[in-house]
Amino acid sequence: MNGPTEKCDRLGELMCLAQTGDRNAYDRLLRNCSDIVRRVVRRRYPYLPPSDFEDLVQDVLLSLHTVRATYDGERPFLPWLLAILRNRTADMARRHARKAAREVAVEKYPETFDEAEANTIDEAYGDPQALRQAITKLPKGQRVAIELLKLREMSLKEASEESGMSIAALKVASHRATRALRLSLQSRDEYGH
Amino acid sequence: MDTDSLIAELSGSVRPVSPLRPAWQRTALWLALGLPPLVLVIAIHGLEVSPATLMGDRLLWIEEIAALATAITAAMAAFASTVPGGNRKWLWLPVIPLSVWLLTIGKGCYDDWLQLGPEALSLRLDTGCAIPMVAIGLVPTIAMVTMLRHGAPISPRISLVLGALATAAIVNFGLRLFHAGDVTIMVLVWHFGFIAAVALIACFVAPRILAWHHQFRGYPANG
Repeated sequence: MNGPTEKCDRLGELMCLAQTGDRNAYDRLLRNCSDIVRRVVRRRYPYLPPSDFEDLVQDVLLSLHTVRATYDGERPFLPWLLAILRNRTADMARRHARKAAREVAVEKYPETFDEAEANTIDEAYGDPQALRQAITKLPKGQRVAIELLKLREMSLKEASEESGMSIAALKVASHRATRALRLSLQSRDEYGH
Repeated sequence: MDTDSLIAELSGSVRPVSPLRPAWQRTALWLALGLPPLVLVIAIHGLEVSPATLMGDRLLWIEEIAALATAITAAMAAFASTVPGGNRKWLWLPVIPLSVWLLTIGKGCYDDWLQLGPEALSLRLDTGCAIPMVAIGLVPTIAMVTMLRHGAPISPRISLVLGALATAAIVNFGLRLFHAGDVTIMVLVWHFGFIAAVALIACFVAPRILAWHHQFRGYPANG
């Protein structure tokens, strides 16, 4: 039966062979190490999400690979491996802490910016009745453009097919209608009618 | 990339490596690289005091031996700190010679005070030692950083601060031979101020100089 010390020595022997360039020994060593690292991480950090879990295992293997020259065959292998694991885990925890401090997770990104002028279009007008009346007073072309593009939320292409107006004409009409509506509603609000 | 593919890639591309030598052997190599510039500078610059005066100053010799011992033990501790799983007690090795060094300088300050009075505590800016200091310190600094980068960056700040202490101690060991006649407050403030400044800078830049990502270059698995 293989006890922990025997296994440790076996891993040390594999690492000594790997230091001479033995690919099979190195492959066996890395597979054994990935199992050990998984076991230790699962026991010590059970709260880690699966993606971080495997990232950590790979990080430890890469670290082990880059500093394999620092292993001394006279010394036990496991403390060497676990020191690397502790270091990589601490680094990962620091990265997570930095990320949590600097980034805010959002489900859906806002479509406009914070500045007031960027949000004027999205502001809902408070009196829908007055808006409807103002639309009926618009010239026909502008009224059609507003109804199709803003109220029925058609694309320019769909609105063009529906109305028979060109896309350029629809853009101009929509722009003029918006300006006319803003002026009309502003003056109504200012004079209280 | 999944872990099995990573293992296949790493084991498929593994090359032979020479195991890192023990800390004391690396320290011997560092001294072998760092001491010749010191000898060369002394040969060119010469000593400011006569060898007879130097030989008669017992406190100065204790101070010099303590400075050299600090350099050696700090270098050993720095190299030991780059081996994963090593005994961390080694990191305390420079404390004893460093304490002796500080005590001898403190004793020197006290003796100067008794002999000269308040004048013993007067400071002046001495820029004459700047060039010899750079000449003595350049090779040990480069050698130390290069050798530390061959190890594992397990505790980069500790490794580089110890390396900075070792380098600063060897520079001070050399400089003291030029400034043997100085009042010791100058040594305490300027030389130890220099060591503190070097250690502080080392503490800030360590994670950039001794980092894992430098060593990951060239591995596709890491991007």
